[in-house]
Amino acid sequence: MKKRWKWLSSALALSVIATSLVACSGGNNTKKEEEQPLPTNTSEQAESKEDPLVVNMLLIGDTILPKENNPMHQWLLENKNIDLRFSLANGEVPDQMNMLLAGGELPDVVRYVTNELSNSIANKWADAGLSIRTDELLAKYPNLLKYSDPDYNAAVFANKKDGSMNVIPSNPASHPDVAQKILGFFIKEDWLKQVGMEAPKTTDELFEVLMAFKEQIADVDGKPIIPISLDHMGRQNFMYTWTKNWYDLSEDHKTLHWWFNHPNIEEYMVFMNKLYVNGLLDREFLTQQPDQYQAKLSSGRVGVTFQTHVPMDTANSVLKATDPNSRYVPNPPIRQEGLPLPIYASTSYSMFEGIVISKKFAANERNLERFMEFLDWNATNEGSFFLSHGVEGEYYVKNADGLYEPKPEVKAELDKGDGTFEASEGLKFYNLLKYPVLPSMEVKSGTEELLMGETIWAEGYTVDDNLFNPAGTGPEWDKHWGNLWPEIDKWQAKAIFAKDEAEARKVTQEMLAHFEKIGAPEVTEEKLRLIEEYLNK
Amino acid sequence: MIISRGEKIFQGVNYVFLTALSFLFVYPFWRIAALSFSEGYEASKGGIHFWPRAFTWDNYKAIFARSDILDAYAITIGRTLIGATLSILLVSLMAYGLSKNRLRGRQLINLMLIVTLFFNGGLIPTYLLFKSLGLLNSFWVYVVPSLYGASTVFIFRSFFRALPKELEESAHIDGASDLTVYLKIVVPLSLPIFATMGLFSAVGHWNDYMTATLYVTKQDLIPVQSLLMKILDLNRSGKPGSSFGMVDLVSDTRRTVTAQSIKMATLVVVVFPIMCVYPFLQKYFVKGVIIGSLKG
Amino acid sequence: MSTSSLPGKRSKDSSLSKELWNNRYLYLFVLPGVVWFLVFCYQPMYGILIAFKDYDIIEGVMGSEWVGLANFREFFNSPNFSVILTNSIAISLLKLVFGFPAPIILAILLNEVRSIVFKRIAQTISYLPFFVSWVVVAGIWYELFSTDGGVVNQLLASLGLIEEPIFWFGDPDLIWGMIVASDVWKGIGFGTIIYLASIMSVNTDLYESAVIDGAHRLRQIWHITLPAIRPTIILLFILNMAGILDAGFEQVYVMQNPMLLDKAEIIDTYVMKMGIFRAQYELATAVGVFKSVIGMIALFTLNFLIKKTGEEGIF
Repeated sequence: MKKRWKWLSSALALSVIATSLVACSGGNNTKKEEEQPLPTNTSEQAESKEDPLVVNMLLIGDTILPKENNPMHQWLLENKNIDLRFSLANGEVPDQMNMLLAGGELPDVVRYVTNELSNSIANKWADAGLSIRTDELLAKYPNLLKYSDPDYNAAVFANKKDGSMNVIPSNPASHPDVAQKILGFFIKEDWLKQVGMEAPKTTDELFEVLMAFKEQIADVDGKPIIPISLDHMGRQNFMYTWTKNWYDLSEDHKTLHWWFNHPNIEEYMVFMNKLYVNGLLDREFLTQQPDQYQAKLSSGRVGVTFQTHVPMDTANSVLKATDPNSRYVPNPPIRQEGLPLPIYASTSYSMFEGIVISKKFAANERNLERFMEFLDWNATNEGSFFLSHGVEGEYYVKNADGLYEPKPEVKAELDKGDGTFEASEGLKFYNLLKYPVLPSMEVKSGTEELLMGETIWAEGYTVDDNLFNPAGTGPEWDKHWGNLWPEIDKWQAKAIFAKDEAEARKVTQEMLAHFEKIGAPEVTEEKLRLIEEYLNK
Repeated sequence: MIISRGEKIFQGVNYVFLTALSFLFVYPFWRIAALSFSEGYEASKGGIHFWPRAFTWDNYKAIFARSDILDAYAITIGRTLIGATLSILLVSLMAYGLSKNRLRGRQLINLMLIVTLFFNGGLIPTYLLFKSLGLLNSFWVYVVPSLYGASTVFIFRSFFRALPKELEESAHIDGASDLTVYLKIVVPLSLPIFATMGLFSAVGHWNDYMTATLYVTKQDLIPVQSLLMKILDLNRSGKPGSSFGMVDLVSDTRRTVTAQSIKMATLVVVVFPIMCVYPFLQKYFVKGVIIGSLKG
Repeated sequence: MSTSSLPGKRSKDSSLSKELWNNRYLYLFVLPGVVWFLVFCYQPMYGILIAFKDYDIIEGVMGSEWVGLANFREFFNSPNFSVILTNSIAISLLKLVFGFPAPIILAILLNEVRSIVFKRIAQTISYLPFFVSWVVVAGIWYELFSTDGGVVNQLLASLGLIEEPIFWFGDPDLIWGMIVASDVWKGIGFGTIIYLASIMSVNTDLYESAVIDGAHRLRQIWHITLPAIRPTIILLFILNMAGILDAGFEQVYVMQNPMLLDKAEIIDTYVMKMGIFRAQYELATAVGVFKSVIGMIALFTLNFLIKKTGEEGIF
């Protein structure tokens, strides 16, 4: 009898021990990080130095962290008395944020990538009492509003329930003062010269140029040339030539079309069909994998495309290595005669990331104050310059024109492009607000071709009317949008590869009818209503 | 033993067929290796099928220059060894118990296991469970939640049930306990299946990147596969119709390594070690040691 | 204690405890597993209820509002439901028909090889594709089958078999074949491992006596090798049923392109696309429950049928 109980109890004990071991080992690691040193009494600050402020910051949506004990971290520790520690949440942003919400606790500070969904979750954090309101902080430290617009913030970031702000908006990459033009049409410069034509600005001109390429440019590396090729982003932006942008809102705010159900989309299909029928369009443009597309660019077989500068820079490096005259250069926006210019991108007050401060961290008022002072300094031009470029003279120096540029050895490291130099030196990471260095302060970085785009692409960039996003979305959008936006891809295949124009038109009409059935009218109506409401507020 | 002509032909055809097949199997990996040794720019032109063009070690240098690669390897190797070993140990024991009809509640437990093949709680409930067990940001999150699997249990169980009963019965008659029978008779007879499931478990551990993505934020605790994901910066959810993504680095780049070429090298570096495990395990894929004792 | 292995009489309590004691090790072996399953599988299972609720994270699963089958209805009423269901079933079944026997056949062929060195090398090479992620595999296959100078089309053209390049990845009618073929190719080597383990534990004496009886190799395979791995085959086949509606999310997602969506949109890719704009745990969970129920029916049906034929099922 006794033996039996001994066995059972030892088995039970073992399982309990095992489980508690597991539980303990997990807990240990997190405990160290969260200990906060007690602040010294403020009245004694003049004499005794406060302990460094430890801030544990979680980045959601980034992919890289600085190395441990990098020079910048050390400098901040010694000179600003702040110990910033980063951790990284990999994976999908909404899932990560929802998990934190469900778990009921946040790290000291969190920075996440903003969009409709993540902003709503950030506000849920506040509703659940996990984070603090930021209305007062934003009022107290006006530098933080330098690049954002309070009305825009109120419309996009604020909590829909009570209008409170619970986020400090950051990363103003699309602000008119600092936005850079990074995408647009590209065309093969040497081919254009060879056929003796000007950069095309209209669809008719584009067609002429492509025909000229097809007839006059010889095979490359034994393979036939491809006058025009487009990837997903390229296709969509080319549609804007007819639909203006991903949405087209009439002046009186009474009519709204999406890019996929715009009446003019038929002309896009017809034009593309014309390109296909004339052998100008890459037959694989809908199916090619990124590698294949890049290969076509890097080997210089494509005449015209629409892209961001990154793959084009790569292609140009390869091409120029063998033939210095062979390169892709930016091409002006292509418009359809009689229609407005397409809008490829717009500058706005939209901030791409948001910083949230946990209630737990803010409970210690002195700590919150110190952290906000750091953010405030971050927001100044000097602060953001320093945090991005390091101690003056160490990495960046002023050149003869008074503009900052990286020292040659630093430039060589930066040019490697994989971020290891920044990571080991701690540059850019501690610029928590991701405020840019003012363009007027430094030498513009980027390839020669990219810099050309500043002027050549200019017409395709506008200032956002700041109306559409702030109006928000509703249940009809939630229900139908997922079924709507991918749909046009399927139909493109049928319409563009149709055997003639008549068939292409027919397919497009079928597509438009299909959209009517799967929720487009409901979504449109709802959006118009929301815009009305927003304007009347 | 006379081998008939038919058999000789069969043998010959078999060899040819398998050789052709092997070529098909090895090709993609060979190509990845070739790309990993090519300069990124050159590689972006395409057309590299067998041999590297512009041979370089740069891609590998770029990887191993990362300080986080060693930590990642430690985590991966650690979890593979500990996780696979523990898992096989525990699962085989449970399967052995379930393989005996004399275990009360056997069918109930079987049913319990089958249900888990179909239903799981989903992301948030699992996350909350891990949180309450203290598994978040702990090494054990890689080991404990994957200790058992219903399929694995069933496979072991099926194997155990197929073993000849005479050996175990005669051992019991001689006074051996279940534990002794298991250790001294069943395990040696089952080496092939132990090796197989051990390999499956090890491979599962080695290839897993989801766990770190969901439950780990400390960057020195992520395995090599998750590091690969970071390097590739795979952005799966493209969102047309919304504002364009963040831009914070506009760098003037002259790279010999491109993201693509690093990806290839990373693939080799991640896959190569685990590939080498199987040849070592193949010696366990031989008939059980004690089979001979059945005769006479 | 000589009859310790025999089942005890259940009529009396003392015999019951004796029986438990005699089998104590078996219970000990099973106990940690049972605990593990309860903790890691059953505890979170309340999450299934999300499929029936309007999930609010702050309220938690239990506190969220019950909506019954509304989420399911939304899924069934989605515009392309019949298409994605058809595609999912078709791809899974095709993978079963072609992909299930493939490793068995390869395992047998590998086993027949006389040269141990060749055998080892071939085995090792065959499972290489398993380790390459689908993203990379798709990239390679796309390039090989490209109409723009892809190897396969060039080969076929040079052999005079085709005049125009075949648009392998642009023709919806071909995509099922491409998906199944690439899946078989990627998984066959690894799949042989478990069959090889079973094959190799067959007593070689059996083969020798068969030879003495005059059987040639094919008969030996039929009568000795196959029966030896039959339990494994049956078990794996039944287990496969559990995932009957899993057409292979990662693979299909990377191999999709706009031209193929009529045939290449499956349940999982659809759910994923819907989830991009809002974290729809309800939809994903409801779809998961749907797939599981179908899988359960399939598995238990198959299990029942197999037991009817006298074989041992899974339950």
